[in-house]
Amino acid sequence: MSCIAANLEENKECGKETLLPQKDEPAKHSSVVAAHYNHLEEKGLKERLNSPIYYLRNFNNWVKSVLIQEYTDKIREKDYGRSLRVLDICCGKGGDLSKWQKARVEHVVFADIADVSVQQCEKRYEDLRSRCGRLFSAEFIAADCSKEPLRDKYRDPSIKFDIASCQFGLHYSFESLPQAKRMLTNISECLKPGGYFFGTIPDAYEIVSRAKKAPNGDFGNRIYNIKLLFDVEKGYPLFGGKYDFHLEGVVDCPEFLVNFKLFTKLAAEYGLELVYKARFADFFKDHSEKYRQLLQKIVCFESYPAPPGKELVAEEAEYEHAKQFWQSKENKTERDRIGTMSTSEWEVATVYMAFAFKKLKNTWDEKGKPVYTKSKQEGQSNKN
Amino acid sequence: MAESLTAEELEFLAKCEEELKDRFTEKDDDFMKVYNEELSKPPILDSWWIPNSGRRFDRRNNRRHHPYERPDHRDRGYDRRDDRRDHRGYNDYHEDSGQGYRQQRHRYHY
Repeated sequence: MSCIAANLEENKECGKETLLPQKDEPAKHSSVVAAHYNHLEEKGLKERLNSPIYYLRNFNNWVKSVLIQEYTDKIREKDYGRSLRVLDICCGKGGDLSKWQKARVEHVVFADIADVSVQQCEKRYEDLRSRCGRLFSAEFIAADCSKEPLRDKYRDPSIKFDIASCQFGLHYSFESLPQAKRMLTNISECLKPGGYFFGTIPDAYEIVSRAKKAPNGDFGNRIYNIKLLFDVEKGYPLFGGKYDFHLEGVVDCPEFLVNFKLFTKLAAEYGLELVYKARFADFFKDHSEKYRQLLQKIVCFESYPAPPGKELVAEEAEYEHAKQFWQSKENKTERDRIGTMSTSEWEVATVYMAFAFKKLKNTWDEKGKPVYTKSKQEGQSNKN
Repeated sequence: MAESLTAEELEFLAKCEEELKDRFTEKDDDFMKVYNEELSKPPILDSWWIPNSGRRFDRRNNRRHHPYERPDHRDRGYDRRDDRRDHRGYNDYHEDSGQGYRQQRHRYHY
């Protein structure tokens, strides 16, 4: 999981250490990421509540919760009562532990590059289990999932997963083709036919669009900044399209563009067929009605106008959209509010996209390689 | 990097370079769709309740010193929850985090 991701979803702040790689040392990137996570620092709830990305983080958690709920439901629709086994790859400190609990899964393998994060994940799992009694069984693996095979590290290497989830982490493996392949091998090889692989990544179309519209390919707002670290005059590399992502309160974090068509093509080689993709703005439109209650419960949006005695997290100018709506709203009472987000936070949220793939059935060719047959389509929905 | 690639990988890359040669250019229709879109505006949800949660640290309205109430009964509850969340850190949200209607009812009960 990325530093940015940890900050965007887990209500955590990263450490203050400068752990940036030298720009001429790309090969050491993963060790830098691991080192970074091994130095994460916990911060109090008060600080998090006052964070300028409080609602953004909650919103990202909503997206993940919806993905988990949607795809566990899809599997159960076909096979009610099935015990679900999950691979949570790039799990970080286990930001999705309670989501897996709510989805009533049976077993989760948590894997991440940073051993300290994995240890924290395990500790949180133990804490959760001691509090709630019945909880899924779990195993914890610290490994660079873009370089090492995971299968031989599982307690049972013959395990079959129903779900593989990779939240805000897959783009790291797009540093090179072999890394992306290793990642997809780890994701796909133990996934059952009919099982789902879903996740969230920055949308390269969105990043490149914004970069092209900005001077020097450098863009952002008061809470984030992105800078492409390669010469766009020479074109956009398929792998290793490095950019710097700075987010409020976090050290800068180099990441890699994921060309989604390339990703889909590569995923197909591993029997993964795209069944859903949506940028976060579209994802919200697709699911906000069905999961409206959850939006409220986890406070994904800010009350506008600010309740008595409170202040908005951003300047009034960032709520122009809300102001217009509010002014034209009729029959308002004193306690009425609308929910919204500051434009800066939403601008970060809309850098991201969600996706889901389904694992296809396969036969074997004479060389012992899997041959995947495209499934007959069932309600495919691709946006973008 | 290139030297560590297998023949098969080089072939895959060459194929993708050809198929995706127009990526992020005006000839890339899917990209241009995103490029030409207006910047997305933040959502607006009507009938959004006022969370009294968050501002757990703002207790001005909590009537802490009601004479017939055990001192700071509710606040102690808040603190306990906060400690737990802090300790666990990792999450997100909890069914019992008291950010819903239930707590609001409780609050206005007095």
